[in-house]
Amino acid sequence: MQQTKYNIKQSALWLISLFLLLSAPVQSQEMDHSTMGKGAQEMPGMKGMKDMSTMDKMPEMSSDAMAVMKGKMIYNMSCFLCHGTNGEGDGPASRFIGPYSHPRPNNFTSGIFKFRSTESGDLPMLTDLMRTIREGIPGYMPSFRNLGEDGIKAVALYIAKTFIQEELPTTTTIKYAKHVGPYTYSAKSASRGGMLYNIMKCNECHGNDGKGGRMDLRDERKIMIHPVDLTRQETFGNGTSHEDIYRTIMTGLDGTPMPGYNDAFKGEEDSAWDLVHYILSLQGR
Amino acid sequence: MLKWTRPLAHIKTTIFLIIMGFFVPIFLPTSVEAIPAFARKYDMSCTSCHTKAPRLNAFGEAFHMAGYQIPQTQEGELRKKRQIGRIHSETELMNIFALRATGNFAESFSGGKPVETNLALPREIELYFGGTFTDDISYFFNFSNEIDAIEGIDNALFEKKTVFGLGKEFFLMFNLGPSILGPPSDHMSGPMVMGPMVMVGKVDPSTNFSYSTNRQLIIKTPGRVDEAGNIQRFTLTPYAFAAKFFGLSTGTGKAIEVTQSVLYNSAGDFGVDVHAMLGQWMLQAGIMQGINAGTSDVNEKKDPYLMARMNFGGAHYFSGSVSGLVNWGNDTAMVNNQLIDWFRYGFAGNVKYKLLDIYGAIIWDKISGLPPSAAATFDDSALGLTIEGDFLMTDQHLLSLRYDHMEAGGFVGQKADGKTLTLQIRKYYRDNFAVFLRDTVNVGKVSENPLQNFRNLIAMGIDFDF
Repeated sequence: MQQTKYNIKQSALWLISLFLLLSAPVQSQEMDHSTMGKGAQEMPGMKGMKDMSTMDKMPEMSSDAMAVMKGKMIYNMSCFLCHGTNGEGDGPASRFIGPYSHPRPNNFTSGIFKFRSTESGDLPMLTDLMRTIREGIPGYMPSFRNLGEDGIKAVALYIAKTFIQEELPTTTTIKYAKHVGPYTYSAKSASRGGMLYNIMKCNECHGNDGKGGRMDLRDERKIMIHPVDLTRQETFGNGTSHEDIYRTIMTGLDGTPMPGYNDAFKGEEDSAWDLVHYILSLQGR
Repeated sequence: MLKWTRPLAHIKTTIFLIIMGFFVPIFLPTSVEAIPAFARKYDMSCTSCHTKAPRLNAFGEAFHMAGYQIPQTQEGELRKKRQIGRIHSETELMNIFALRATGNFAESFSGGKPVETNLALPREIELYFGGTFTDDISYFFNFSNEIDAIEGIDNALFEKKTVFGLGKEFFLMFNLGPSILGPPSDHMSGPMVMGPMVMVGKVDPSTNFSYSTNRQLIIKTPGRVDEAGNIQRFTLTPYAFAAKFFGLSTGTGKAIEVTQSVLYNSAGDFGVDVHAMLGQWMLQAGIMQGINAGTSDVNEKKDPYLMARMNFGGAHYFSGSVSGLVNWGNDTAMVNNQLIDWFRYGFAGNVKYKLLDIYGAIIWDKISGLPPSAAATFDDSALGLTIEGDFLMTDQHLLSLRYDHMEAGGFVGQKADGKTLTLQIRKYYRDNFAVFLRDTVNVGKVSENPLQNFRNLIAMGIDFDF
C-alpha cells in the first residue's frame, strides 16, 4: 500500500474535534427572563418551538410585556435576517435586497419610517407598523399575516419598545376618508387629478406618462432611488388600494424624495382623491 | 456542437469570445428588474433569498430550512391558495413551477491536447416544482435534461450522452417539530428550535453545509471523452467535493469520474436526511444510497453521515457559519471489482460581509478494505480544497474567484494532482438572467492526465431562471 498521507491519528483528531463540536453546550438566544410571566397568547406561527422555561418561577407581568417577549422570539427567528439583531437594517441578508440602490431594510433606530398614516417627520402609529408586517412590501418583504393579529402586534410592540424607544403616536392629524360616497371614482375626478398632477409637479419625478424613469435621486442613506412607475401597481410598496394611495400622497414616504402633501391639501382633501383617481386611471383601474 | 481543433482557429475564437464578453453587453438592455421565479408566490425579488441566484443568502437558507416557507409565516400567502382541510392547493401553477437553463455556450481549451473550441446550447435545463402541501409537509421535485453529461461505463471507460430524468433533488420534507415538541406554550423562551425536518427521496444534504455542492455560481465545464471511451479531460467541478480517486468504480462496475461530486457532497442521492436548528446550531444526520447510484440499491448497504453547523453574526451586514462533516461510505465503491469502504470528513466555512461572500471547504477522503491486488499500487487517501469569493461590484456585475486544489488518491500509475484558479464575471441583465465570462487556469502541471490536460479554459455562458 502506498504511504498514507493522512494517518489514523490525524483522522482520530478530526473526529474528536467534531465530537467536541457536537457536544458543546448549545448557545441559546439571549432572552430577558426578568420580564417573563403569565398571560401570553397562543401564537399561530410558533409551531415547533418548545417551552424551555421554568414557568413556576415567572413573575406576574403585563400583557404588553409578554407580547414584547413573543415579538422578540419571532423577530429573532425571522425579521433579524434583514433588519439585523439591533434593528438597524443591517441584517445578514439586507445588502442583497438593494445592493447599490433603494430599497434597504429599514433602520428602526433612525426614527425614519416610510409607511405611516401620520404627518411627514412623525413616528408611525403602532397600527402602521402592524399594517406593514401584515401586508409586507411587494417585491421585498413577505406578508406575515399568518402570525395572526396577536403575533403581528407582538412584533410591532417589540420593535417599538426595543428599537424606536419612544412613545408612538396614537392619533394622526391627517384627515382620512373611506373610498365611498363622494370619493368614488369618476372620469371627471380623474381629469381634475390629471391637472393637479402637473400643477403639483408630480410629473417632475414620475414623468408626464407616470412611468417614472431614471433620475439621480437619493434616499436618506444617499442610496440611489428611482421614482415609482405609477402605471404599475405592483411597484407600490405602501399598498395599492385607493386608501393606500391617498395615504401615501398625504404622508409622503419619509427617507425618500417623496414629500407629504397633507399641508397642500389641507381643507381640500377632496382634491387629493382626484389625484388618486388620476393615478388609478394610469393603471386602467 | 461545432468544434475547431486547429490552433489558429482556437486563437481567433478566443479573441472573438473576449471581444464578445466585453462588448456585447453594451448593446443589450441595462435595466435590472426583479422577476421572481419561486419568489412569484411570495411577491418577493430573487435577491431576497439569493446573493445572486442560485447561491443562497441567510434569508434563503432560513427559507429552505423552514421547508420552503418564510420563517414564522407557515404558508404566509394563503391568499393565493385554496385550502381544503389541512391541504393547501395552489391556484396558480406559476407559483410552484420554475425553470433554469444554464451552461457554457462557448468554451475554448488551450495548452493541452487537443486544443479545441466548442460551441454548444446551454447544456442543462431543469424544471422545478416546489411548495407546500400542508404547514408541515413541503415538496421539491426536479427534472433535468443535461447535454454532454459524462457517465462512467464498464472497463474504466466513459461516454458522453444526453441525460434526461430526475434531477438533482426530488424529495418530500416533513417538519416533525409540532409532533415531537408539542403545541406552542403560552411562555416562549429558551433557545429557538426549528424542525426537526425530515427529507425523504433524492436529497442534497449539503444544502445545509456551509458550502453546498449545488448552487454554484461557477458552473461545471463538461470534460472530454474520445471515441474509444477514454476520458481525456475531467469535468471541471469544485475539487473539495470530488471523488478524488483514480480507478474507482461503482458497485455495478461503472467508472467514477475523479471530479464527480460524491457521498455527502453528491448533488443529490436517494436517502433520508434529518436536520434541526437549535439556537445558532444545526445538527444533521442521515443515510444515503451512496455515490449517486440511482434507484438501484447496488450494495444493499447505506452510507451514514453526521454534520454540525454553527451560525454566527446577524448585524452589521455580517453573517457566517462553520460546519464539520463525517461520512461513512459503507461498501460504497469498488477497486479491482472488490467493494471498499470510503471515509469522508471535512470542514466548511462561510463569511458574508456586505456584498462580499467568501466560502470554502476542505474534505479528506480515505479508503479502506482494498483488495490485496491493489494494496501496493493504490494510494488510499486524498484531499480536496475549494475556496471561493464572490463580490457584487454593482447591481449588475458579480465577480468570482475560486481556487481548487486536489491531492488525488487512487492507482499510482494513473493519478495526478490538480490546481486551478478561476476568475469569472457575471453580468446580470435581470436578476434572473446573467451572462458570464470566465477564465480557468491550470496553475499546476500540464500533462495528458485528464486532470491536467489544459492550461487555460475560456468560457462564456448563460444562467437563466424563470
